[in-house]
Amino acid sequence: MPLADEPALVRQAKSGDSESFGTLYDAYLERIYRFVYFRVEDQQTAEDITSQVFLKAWENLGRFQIGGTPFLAWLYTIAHNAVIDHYRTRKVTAALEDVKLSDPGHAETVENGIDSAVEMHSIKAALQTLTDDQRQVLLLKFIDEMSNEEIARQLGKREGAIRALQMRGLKALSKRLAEKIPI
Amino acid sequence: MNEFDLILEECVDLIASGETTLEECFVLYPEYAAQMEPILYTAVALQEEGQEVTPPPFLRERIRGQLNHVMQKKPEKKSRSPVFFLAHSSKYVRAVLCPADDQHGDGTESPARQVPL
Repeated sequence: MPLADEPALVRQAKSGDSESFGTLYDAYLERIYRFVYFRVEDQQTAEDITSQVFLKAWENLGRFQIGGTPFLAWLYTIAHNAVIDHYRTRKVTAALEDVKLSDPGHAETVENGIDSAVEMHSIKAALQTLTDDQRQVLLLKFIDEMSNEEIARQLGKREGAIRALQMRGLKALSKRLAEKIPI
Repeated sequence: MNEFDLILEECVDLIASGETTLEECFVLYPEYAAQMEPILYTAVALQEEGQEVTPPPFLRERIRGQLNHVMQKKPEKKSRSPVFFLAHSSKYVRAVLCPADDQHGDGTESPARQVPL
């Protein structure tokens, strides 16, 4: 859900008001971090790329047009491109065995215990076995909380295609997770 | 698309938006409950596990520091405040560095107080 006074905050941030940008940053840090976290191989990389996203957003605020794309959607685009640049630079392929467990110091392990970290690892690993389109749709829907319409717009596809990818992705993910359950 | 897929899609969308629960879907469509169960559980797991992921507390302040540095380097993009997020950062710094004064109840200093800024 965007901030109620987002257009005013963005306008002020574009004119150089760091406090306004700060409000936007505080509101969206968690969602951008989550977006990146599920698309990279480890927590450190997620932190670095999240940092890059907000630095780039500040640097390129002049290019953002108020009244067009929502500010969060624009941040997602910057994050998406940053993730792509990361893989292009590192030539890292998202293989099942490359997905690492979260850092033990990470909040999710501290708060929810090892079981949750293991489950997260399984989910992240299983997501890597999907096609790129299926993975993108599931992440945008269930992690980034977008509607099918928003996902369609973000990916440049028809809504019907998004629904089909969602179903195929969920079925494949479900099957993959079931295969990992020990008997 | 067959009936099962339509019902499954409906349940997935309602669960994703928080308008219904897994159990309510099973009650609504008992004839498909067994078939839907693994897929809906996956959707719920993805959603719940995903929402558990939050940035570590230090990351918020680290990025603030980086942004502050960048803003101070660009005088043509003047900030009203010379220190980035001064009003916002103080409460987060306090939360990280200064939790309850006597967390252990034994007069010892909380470990968080020893973390350098």
